[in-house]
Amino acid sequence: MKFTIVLYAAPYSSQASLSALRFAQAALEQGHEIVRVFFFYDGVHNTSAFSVPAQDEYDLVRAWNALILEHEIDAVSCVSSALKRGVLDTREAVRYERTGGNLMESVVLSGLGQLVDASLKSDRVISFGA
Amino acid sequence: MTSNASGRRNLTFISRRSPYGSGYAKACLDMVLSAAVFDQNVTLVFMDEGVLQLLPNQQAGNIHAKDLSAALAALPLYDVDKVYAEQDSLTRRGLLPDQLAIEVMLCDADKIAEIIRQSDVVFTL
Amino acid sequence: MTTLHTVNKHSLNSDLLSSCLRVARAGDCILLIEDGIYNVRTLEDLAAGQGCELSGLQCCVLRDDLTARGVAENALPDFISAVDHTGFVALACAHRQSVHWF
Repeated sequence: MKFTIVLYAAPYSSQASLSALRFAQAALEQGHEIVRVFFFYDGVHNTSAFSVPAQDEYDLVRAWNALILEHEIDAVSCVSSALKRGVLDTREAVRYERTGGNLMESVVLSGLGQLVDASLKSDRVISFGA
Repeated sequence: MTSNASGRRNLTFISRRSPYGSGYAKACLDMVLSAAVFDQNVTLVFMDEGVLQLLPNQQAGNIHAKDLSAALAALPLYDVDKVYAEQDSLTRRGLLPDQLAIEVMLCDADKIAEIIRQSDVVFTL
Repeated sequence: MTTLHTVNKHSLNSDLLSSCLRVARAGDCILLIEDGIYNVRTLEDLAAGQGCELSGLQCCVLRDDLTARGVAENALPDFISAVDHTGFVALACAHRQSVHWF
């Protein structure tokens, strides 16, 4: 099966991010394909490389990064959600004269069209939110 | 499931939240419009607190927000014409169908269940 | 064609489960996840109160979310089965649509 995963919630503020990550891991372990992970709304906070969890806390952001890189998953953060929440890549940081970009290396900023596109290419779209 | 030859799917959006108190109502509308721009077969259903988006006379400028009901009025321009509101959700909140900000088709839970069954993808916000 | 519904909040705190039950139909599956697992205690009464027939629905709960919250798997009512994340994926494959109530 081809899955798209949509995540609307920030890490740590709810369980949604962990739920989405564990679903993704289980799907991949079973040999399914993840067409895209789309971070939307507060979900874009999962793609900020600036996240520093406590030493004894599970590092959700790095876990997402590792999963995306290991399985070469196409991962997108919605650009409009990201910008207003202070998640920027280097290009946007320069454009908007912010001190630096913080977008995780494995993710690109793009529009909702990528979610529509993923919906067309997937057998299942699974969403997690708070 | 695969798209048909034209890459067109039945995308359904169930909008369950009131406007302004959270950003979900606007986020849902943004998704609806994106799907419409990409020529998908879009259905929008307002249920639960989502029907409160349909209250007329919203003066969102007072809270530095964009008027969501005005944005909803643009749905026909995007060829989004399958717009439903659950009757029970309206009734529980004292909303009368002829006093809504936009024209909607009234439906019951059976209709929503049918819409879900006919969808390729359902987004619930 | 059937639907997988996921519900992530307790019915005493949210109308998610109530709305889910209104539109779930025979053959569908309701999977309780995150705080939705607390519904294992309230699901039957809530469904009865809404005149919703549970016998046609498959009711499941995510095991790790259940045990994390101190609710024992062996205390589950007969009609609710616990699944792990592999089971969650399998349910997503088995049902053509999914509606995620959160």
